[in-house]
Amino acid sequence: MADKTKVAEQYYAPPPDLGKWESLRIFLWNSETGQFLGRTGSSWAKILLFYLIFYAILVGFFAAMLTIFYQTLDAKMPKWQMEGSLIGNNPGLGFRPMPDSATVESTLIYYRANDKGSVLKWAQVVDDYLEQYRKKGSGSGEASGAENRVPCSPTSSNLGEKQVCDVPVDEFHPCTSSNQYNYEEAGPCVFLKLNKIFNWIPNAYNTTDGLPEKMPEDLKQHIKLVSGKPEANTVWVSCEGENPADVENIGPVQYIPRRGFPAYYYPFTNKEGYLSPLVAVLFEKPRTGVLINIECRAWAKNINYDRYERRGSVHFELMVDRS
Amino acid sequence: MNSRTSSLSSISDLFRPNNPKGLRSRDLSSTRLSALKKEINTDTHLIPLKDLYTLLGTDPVNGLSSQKAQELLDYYGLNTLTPPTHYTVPKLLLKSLCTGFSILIWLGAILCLSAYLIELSTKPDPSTDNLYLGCVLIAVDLICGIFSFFQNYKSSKIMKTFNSMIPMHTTCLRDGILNRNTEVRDLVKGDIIYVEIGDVIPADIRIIESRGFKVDNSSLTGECIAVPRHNTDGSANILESPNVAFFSSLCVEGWAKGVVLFCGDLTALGRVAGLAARLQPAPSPLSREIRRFMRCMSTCALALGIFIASASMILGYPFMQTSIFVIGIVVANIPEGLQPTITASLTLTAKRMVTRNCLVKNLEAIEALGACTTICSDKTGTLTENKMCVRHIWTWNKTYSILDKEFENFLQNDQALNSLKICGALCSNATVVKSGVIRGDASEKAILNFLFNYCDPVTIRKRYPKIVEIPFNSVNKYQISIHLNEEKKTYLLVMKGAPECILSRCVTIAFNNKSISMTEDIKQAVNTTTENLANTGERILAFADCDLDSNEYPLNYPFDTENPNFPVDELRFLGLIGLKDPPREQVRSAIERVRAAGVRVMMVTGDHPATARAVAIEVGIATTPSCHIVTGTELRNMSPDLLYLTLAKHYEIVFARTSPTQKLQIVEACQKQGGVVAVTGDGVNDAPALRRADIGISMGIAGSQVSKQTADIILMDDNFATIVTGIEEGRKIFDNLKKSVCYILISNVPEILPVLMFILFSIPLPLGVMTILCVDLGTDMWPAVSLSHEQAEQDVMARPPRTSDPLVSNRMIRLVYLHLGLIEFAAGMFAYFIVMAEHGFYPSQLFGIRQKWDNVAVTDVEDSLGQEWTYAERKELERACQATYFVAVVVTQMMNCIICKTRYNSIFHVGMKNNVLNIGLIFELILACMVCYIPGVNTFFKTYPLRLRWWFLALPFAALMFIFDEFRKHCIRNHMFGGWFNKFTFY
Repeated sequence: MADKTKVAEQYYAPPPDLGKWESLRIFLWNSETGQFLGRTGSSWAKILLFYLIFYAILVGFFAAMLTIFYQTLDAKMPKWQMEGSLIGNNPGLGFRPMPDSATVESTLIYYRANDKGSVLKWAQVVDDYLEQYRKKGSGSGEASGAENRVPCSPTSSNLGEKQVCDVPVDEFHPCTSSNQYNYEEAGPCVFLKLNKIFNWIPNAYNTTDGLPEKMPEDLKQHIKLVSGKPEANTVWVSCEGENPADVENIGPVQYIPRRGFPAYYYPFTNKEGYLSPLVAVLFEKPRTGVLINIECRAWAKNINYDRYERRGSVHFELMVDRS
Repeated sequence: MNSRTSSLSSISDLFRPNNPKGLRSRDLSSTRLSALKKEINTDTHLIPLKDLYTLLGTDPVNGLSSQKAQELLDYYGLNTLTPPTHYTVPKLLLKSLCTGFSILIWLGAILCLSAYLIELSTKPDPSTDNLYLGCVLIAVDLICGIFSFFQNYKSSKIMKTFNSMIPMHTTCLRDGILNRNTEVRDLVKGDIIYVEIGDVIPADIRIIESRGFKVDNSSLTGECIAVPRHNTDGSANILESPNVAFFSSLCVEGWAKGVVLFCGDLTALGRVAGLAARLQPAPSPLSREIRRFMRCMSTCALALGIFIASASMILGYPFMQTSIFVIGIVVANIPEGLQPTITASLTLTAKRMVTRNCLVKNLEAIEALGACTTICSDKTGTLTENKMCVRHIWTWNKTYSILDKEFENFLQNDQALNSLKICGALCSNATVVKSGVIRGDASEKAILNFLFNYCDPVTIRKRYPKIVEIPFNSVNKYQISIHLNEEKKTYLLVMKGAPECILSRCVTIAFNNKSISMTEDIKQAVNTTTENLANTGERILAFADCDLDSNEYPLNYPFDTENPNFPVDELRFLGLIGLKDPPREQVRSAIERVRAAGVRVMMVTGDHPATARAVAIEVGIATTPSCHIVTGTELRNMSPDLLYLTLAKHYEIVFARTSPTQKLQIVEACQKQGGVVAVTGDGVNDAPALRRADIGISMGIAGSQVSKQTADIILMDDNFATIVTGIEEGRKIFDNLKKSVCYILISNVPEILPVLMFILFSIPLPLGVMTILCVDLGTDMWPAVSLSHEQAEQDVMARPPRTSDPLVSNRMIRLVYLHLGLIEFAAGMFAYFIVMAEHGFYPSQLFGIRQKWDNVAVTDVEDSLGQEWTYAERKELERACQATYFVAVVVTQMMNCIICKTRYNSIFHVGMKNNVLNIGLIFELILACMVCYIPGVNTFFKTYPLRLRWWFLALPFAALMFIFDEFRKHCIRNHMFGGWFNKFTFY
């Protein structure tokens, strides 16, 4: 047996113990065999080529499948609409200005009325949002379709194939850009908009019949005033304080230019240049230094309300400081 | 002498009850274990009795004084077997709850719960999602943990079984008073005790006085033969010493008085028990691999989790967001279903094995059996039937084999054979009980059994009533009885014994009908035959008779057995009978198959080398007569290195006359060589080896309780051939486990990548954590387990045992993570994008949308077609997308299951014959439907009742997957592209 081991030793010597770093270095680059990370260059090249081909096929297949599928889609119109789609037929409300949604989960509009910077910050947010409403003239870039916009009124005749109704945001006095949307006056404007849902047509409360019980009194009065007139075809809007204290603090509220979203803006059919109608809510004299919870609701026969799921309503907080 | 006594005292110190050296209990246990592994090293059975009395401070006439006995008892403890220190139940439970992936899942659960608590304290209406998820994770962990706990917690019943072998009371001499009811546990070293027939020896004793004392040492040697013990000089090896009787041996004849040499744990049996109970079996190859793989996966998951966590912290994400990332990464990375699948597959195989007479106690042992490289087989009872049988008969000039077909004719015609038959029937102490059961010595039983086939020994005995007898003893080595021939009214003397002993007393030899006188030639012939037969492992008995002259010995002649007044020389030699413990049927072919499968078979027995060699040759363990035989004595003088070398040098080895500790040494040496060792055995002496072996195999019928308790596998029919089935099943299950693991791992890829997409590309989460768990522990489970029902793809017995073929190889990882998994991921993402696009969110819109999307404050996220989505609507869409992704994974996994059915063959060749798998696929589909459509269930799992068309989105990808894999297997079969796929993806 001893002889055997001797013979074996002549042919085989155990590899010298190189230590951790040395063996790592050899693993990284073995100059003897030309191996890099344990493989030779040609081996790596083969691997690279194989995976290049394999992944090219996979990506190509994926892309091809997507392309084929896109043939079944309409570029202008969602495949599923209204109830057929998960979006449903119950639009929610949105408000502007919003705090930066990328960083915080907050709906608080807080500013100091006599701090120019603070005022400008919020005004800038609204300006940015209203930018698309101000684009006029022939389309270029993002404002394409602006030429389709025509002024509409409740009595105006049907729109053309490509025409959409204009939203004259510069006429929302005092909620105008030049006035910094009245933020400086400590009576800020908050813009409301109804979520766009393809092909959704409001079923407005245009008469006093069947007005829901919970509708605020002043809105009922307003509807009574316009009942029967063409301008009664409107998705009504109301903003109230959520809690009794908020109701006291909120002060008088004005809706500009009118108390809702006129029905002639609907349906939304993704026409080029379409603008979502806006209501600027002017809080004339909110109590300063306190946080006010405000809920705004949209009223129409086909808008259901659910506070928890935020159906047909929007919630935000307002806090104005005047130090 | 001094050094020996001191080493003796040090080991006895170790087993004192009050923890002498102040060791921690675990340390003490392991120190005891290493002390037990050494052979018994003592000379107390060699020194003169007088010296022994002085050494032990006892007196053979009066025994110990009660006071001294009490002192010794206080110092050394009770004469019982000390159970080993084990993990306590809570500790073991805790350990099971924190192994493998569990820690990571705990981490996830803690993150979930703390996220929930934070939300609870900061928000008026916190969502309960995190609470649910945390609870589900904890439930998963608890279930898995308790599962593995029950698998690990095999309560140490071993010691209990040993303790049940010990008697309660014994007869002990103390203060000169004989107490018949001394409690055995009160015995101490130096006590003088008495044992008689039927008693179990209460400690290791050295015989002082005895008469006809025989003990059955089967508990230590495995040989079920009564051996005489008396006061004589001992032999060096205490286990073979004729003046020592051991704890737990049964006294089958006579009585004896002895002095206690060792008590409790220090007795030979105590050592065996201590070893068997304290030894921890080496982790099975499978569990080693699973542990390694789990550690790998956990490290990856943890590293990725920590990386993501720190990165998102640095990027300024709030804690909530970070914890969501980390939980997703951790849960997605872990194949939660792996452990349950493996356990379930093994359990199913174990159930199948039971129908084939193979009871599996330790699940992993099945797979280990498939990987087994060496089988150390006990001889008696395993390879042989442990029942003596007559194999050869020799009368003058002729050897008859009873297996010969014409044997019966010879028997009829040969007169000498008839005399031999009569002699065999008469000269025997075995008794025939009613219903044909024979009681007595093994060889006498065998002879009677043999005679029953050709004549009726009972009638013979009636015709020749027994007058007197001289029983067998080890000095005379023969047995004589005198019978009355009732017809002729003469006396017949019959004699049986060792051939050389009988032969020297014979002057004539029976040859057909006459007697011829004994010549040197005849004697020579007898000796040659004896030698030849002995070499084949047979035990030879010679028979002689003598018709006593009726004149000299008239009726009622007073025969005196103390001083024989009748001729015991000048007899007539009748013939020889060769007895043998025959090998079981099928053993030979079984060993042939095992060896063809590349498994080495060694024999490790307590029997004599010659017998061992003969059996080894007969059953095919040794193929050449010159096979290497190592005896216990040689082994004792071998250094571990030499043993190692011997094992490496000789392929066919027979170990004979081995002690229980030596069996253990052999097993450990084989394991040190890197082998996976199976040990078969049936006796108590095999227990340590059975315990230590990777697979301990015990015999269900003949096996002792202890061996069954320590074994991993029990052969219910005691059939060695069942081991072959076991190896086959073990190898098959390993191949199939590979498929299962591959299948499970593949679904990991489409789980991890969406989470990464969510984090890196800020798209809405394509697959929720709940749905990940749903796939891992729900839909994947049955198909994964059903893969274990696949037929073997090739002849598993035609290849050597796996040595370097891991369960999860790099090739599998490559195939899973770089090929098939990615196709599944593509399918899932495709489905996700489609549903999004159908609702208006085109893929380009989705990238970077996450912050807005997941922000509950934003009520108007605009899609590509100008529609604006509230938070609730978005989340509903997200659920629908996740459900579609989930369904895509389910559909591709179904295809994947079909793919994983084979590793090598084409699926067209194999077909879909596995009905368990087919049902599993349907089950997977139904389960997916249930998760999606049952109200309540779908809100819990965050899925959504899908449109029918969304179920088909993954089909093209499933087809792609199938085509790719068939192509891959085709290339593997034909070794195309220079064996590229073989090298890269053939797992």
